[in-house]
Amino acid sequence: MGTYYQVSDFGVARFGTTVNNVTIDTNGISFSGALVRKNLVTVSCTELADGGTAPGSGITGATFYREFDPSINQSLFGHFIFPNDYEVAGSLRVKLHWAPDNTDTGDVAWAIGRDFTNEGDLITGVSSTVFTSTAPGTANAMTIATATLSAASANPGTNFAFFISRAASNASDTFTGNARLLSLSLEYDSDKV
Amino acid sequence: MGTNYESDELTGQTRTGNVTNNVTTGPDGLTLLGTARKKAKLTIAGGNFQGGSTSPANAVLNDITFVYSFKKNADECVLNALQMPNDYEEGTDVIVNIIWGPADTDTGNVKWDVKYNLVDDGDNIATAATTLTLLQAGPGVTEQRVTTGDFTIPGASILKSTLINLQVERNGSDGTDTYNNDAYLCAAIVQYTKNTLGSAL
Repeated sequence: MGTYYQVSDFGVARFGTTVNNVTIDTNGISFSGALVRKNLVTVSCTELADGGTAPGSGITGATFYREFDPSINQSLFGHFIFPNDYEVAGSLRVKLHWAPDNTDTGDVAWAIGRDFTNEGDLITGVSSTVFTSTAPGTANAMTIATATLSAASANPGTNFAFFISRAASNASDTFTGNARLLSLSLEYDSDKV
Repeated sequence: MGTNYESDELTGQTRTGNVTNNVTTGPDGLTLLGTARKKAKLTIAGGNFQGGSTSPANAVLNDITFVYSFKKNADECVLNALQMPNDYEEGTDVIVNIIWGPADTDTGNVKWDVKYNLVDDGDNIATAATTLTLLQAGPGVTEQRVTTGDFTIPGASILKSTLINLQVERNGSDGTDTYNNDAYLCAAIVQYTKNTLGSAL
């Protein structure tokens, strides 16, 4: 391994190896290699706007949820601005926190549609990904479904417009009950402070 | 004080500060210990809450401030959920404060309840809520901003991955709620302790 600590006369201090380090210089604090961090932002389902066909809602205890039906495609919409500590060309992991309303162990087919837009871009584009999450077999047991999206075109400040839907008509959706969405976390790679 | 600077080639760690209070860089990135840790806050805007089983009306004051308007003699509530950020120091308390304003000059007390449950992967999302309560007097000035004291959620079982379901309620039917008019909820602030700059990839 390389040097663990190095300070140069050019005003650069590096902690760690040449590959994996924390660097302090005139641009502030940055990370590289294995020391790149992951951070997240939570979007509560209370903050999402209804799509043309929207899921119902419910409350249990202190928990508010949106309830996606197994027989119809329903959707919710939201936005996220990439923060200034985002590592350009990193990835974005969308984690849905959801729970089933019965004990079936089929799969829920979730779909996430998205459009990354920068200044001057048209806001009309969309691409979508379907990913499945298996119900745990226990009603109301929280389950996390993760989709990893390429965010190659994103920079700090890029608007990430998205929708979340249950692709109920997709053959891979085999769960018989309602899927209760609580929130989603948007997890990104961070290489600076 | 102990040593102010130490670099250990075996562990790959460099510590700036003393043994108790320091910034350490190493294979886990940059971590903060003791008094070098920082307080951070998240804001839940009033508009990001959703009405509960008995929902307060919402309103926009002076064309700029969105509020939920909690009535006297009613138990109305709003809800939200959040996962702690990756810079959260697991096991530390999470503090919630409510920012609100009164509809008139009365100085009676508003009884605010913050209810919460903590849910991790596999936990029951209908886990019974725990209730925290505070009384706060109206300031005597119409629509003056007031911030409640701390609603402290014990951090012993809170992980970075924990989902906190939050409910804010005015327990207006309670005899101790003596404020005579609407209480306007503007936002909630969630404060936590950070001791790192994120999790490993």
